[in-house]
Amino acid sequence: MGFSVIKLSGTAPIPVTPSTPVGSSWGASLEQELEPRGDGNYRVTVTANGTCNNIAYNLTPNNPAPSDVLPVLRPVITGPGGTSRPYGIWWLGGGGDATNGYYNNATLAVNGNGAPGPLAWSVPQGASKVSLSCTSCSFPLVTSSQPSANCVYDIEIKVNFSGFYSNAYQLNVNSPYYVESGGLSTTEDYLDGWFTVIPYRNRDRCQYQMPSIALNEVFGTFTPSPWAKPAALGLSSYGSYTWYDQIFISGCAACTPPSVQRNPANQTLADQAQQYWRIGSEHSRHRSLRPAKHVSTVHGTWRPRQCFADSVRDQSCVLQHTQQ
Amino acid sequence: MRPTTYATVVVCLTACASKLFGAPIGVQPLSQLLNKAEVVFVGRIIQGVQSDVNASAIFQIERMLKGSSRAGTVPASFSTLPAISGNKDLRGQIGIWFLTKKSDGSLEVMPPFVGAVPVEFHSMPALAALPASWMADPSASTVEKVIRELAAALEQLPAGSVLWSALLSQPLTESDPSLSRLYQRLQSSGSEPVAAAGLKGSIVKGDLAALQSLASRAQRGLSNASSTIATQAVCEFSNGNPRALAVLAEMAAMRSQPELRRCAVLALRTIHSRETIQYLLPLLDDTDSDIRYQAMAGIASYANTGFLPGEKQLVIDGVVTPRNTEPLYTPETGANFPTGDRFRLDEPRVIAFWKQWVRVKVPEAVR
Repeated sequence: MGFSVIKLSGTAPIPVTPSTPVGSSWGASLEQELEPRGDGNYRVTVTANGTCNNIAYNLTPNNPAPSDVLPVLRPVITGPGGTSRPYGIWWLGGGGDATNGYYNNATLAVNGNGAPGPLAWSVPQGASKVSLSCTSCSFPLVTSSQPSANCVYDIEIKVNFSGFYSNAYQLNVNSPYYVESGGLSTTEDYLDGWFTVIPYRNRDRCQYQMPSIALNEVFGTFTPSPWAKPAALGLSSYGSYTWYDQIFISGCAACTPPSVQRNPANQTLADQAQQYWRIGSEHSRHRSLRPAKHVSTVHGTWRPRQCFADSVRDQSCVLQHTQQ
Repeated sequence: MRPTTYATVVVCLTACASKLFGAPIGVQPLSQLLNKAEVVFVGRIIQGVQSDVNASAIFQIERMLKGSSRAGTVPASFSTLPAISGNKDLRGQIGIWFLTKKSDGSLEVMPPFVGAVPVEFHSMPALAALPASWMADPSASTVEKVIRELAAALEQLPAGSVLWSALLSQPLTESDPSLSRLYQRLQSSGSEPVAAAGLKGSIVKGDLAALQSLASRAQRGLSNASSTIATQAVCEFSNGNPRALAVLAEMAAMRSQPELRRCAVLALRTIHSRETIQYLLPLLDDTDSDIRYQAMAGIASYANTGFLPGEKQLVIDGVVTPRNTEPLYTPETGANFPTGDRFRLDEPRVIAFWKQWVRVKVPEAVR
């Protein structure tokens, strides 16, 4: 076992007078900051020299043995699962989707490893991406406030005990990025009407396909038509990566259905509204990334295009529509 | 909507206004359905009515797949939402039904879909009589029995709703080799969606032969019915076998199949072993911006192995394999793995960085 030798030196005045009894003793202490040195095995070897009347005296002529080894470990931060492994959380516009494993926060803990003094948490890297519920507590909750700029763990959180710092605990904040076509849609007869199913998938900011996540739809204003209007609904979870928008209209054989202009050459729309998909919640109209926009038509065959939901490529999706 | 070999008689009982309905839905994982189901059977509704949001039926059991019933019939209720309320006679509907026990001991139908679906979608399609070629061994799992019933029904359907194909091609968690046999049986079907579902199952499990089979079919052109299913399988392929990487690279070059290309590059990115770099490097200059990003992300993922949220282990032919003998991560490699939106703002510089990085760190990939 090797040791780096760190020499600490200092002076301590000893008030010796002619009346000082033989055998008197004094103590002195020296302190050094551990922070620049960090983890390691420490031991203390004391040598003392004194000067009296300008004569130097070796006060430890017997070369006392070094102390026992004192292992010093930096404080260790642990996250979910009680490990110090890096962790990924999500920005869903506020809130999380625990059902599907998309957490927007994590509770941290620290093992001080014997470090004394009050503790203080900080975010030395990526401070704009997360917030801490408290900085002088034992179990702060770190919550996402923005997505990371990179697809690696690029947020660092540290805690210090009187200036002795832990190693960084690393985090990443991801978020949904866009809704894309999940393949060809299908339209079939349904009772006396039609039934269209449009597959979709979600991608995150690192452009991976996202497994099941809660989502909901929001409609804009429908163009006036005699057709009934759908209620906006949500979806809590689904198997694998693909989800579907089902759109159907049906009536009753005994009813007079509203008239529909059947003119494929003109691509006349039977009904239309803007449809927004909110990713991250089954219910909240306010949760999520900037909305993925696309123009929806009811009745007919749909072919959605890829939609980006950010200000850089804030383009509307175009649904190619052909009437049945 | 349903195979014409059996009757679907859904009659509107009262005069009603037209109903427009839209809702997001998803496939309920089969394993979850089966875990929750008390009884699973192929059966026909012999008596049943939907009245607004309430519906109930008595089922004639044709084939029991899980559970038992002393009587040949079983009653159950449905739950629906106001948005899909209606007044219908449900008699005649045949399907694979999953019934769960409610707190009062009665049985309720569990749809195979999550979300609000009409009662016609509260079962999987099924045939009145199962052809011998689809019969399962008596020892087969309930999952296998259900999949065989569904495949047999879909073979009879004309190119129908994507939802039925989605049910058949969903990922299954049963262990091999029973799944391998099942997927082989699906692949031998003359129905494109059924065969594609079998191919997908094999590909997602890492079967190299299935991947090669898809590549050959893609060269000849994939039909609409099978392309969606098979393409998604490639997106989920994760076997780092070097021969598989070469097949993925072949797919990435198929300009007539843009979605297949994108999935092939995504698969290379997900695998991001050292051997993928030679295939990803030339794609940094592709004309498709998504492919350029995925190629960059694949190289950046290899460089930043160990520092990637959600990173999957490298698996080669079922064996977990380390990607590197030593870490390659540096703060610079981390800073040059931007999210998609940031990549678009800084693309030329990021691509130049990774080209140079590969020249230095993976020189064998530079041809």
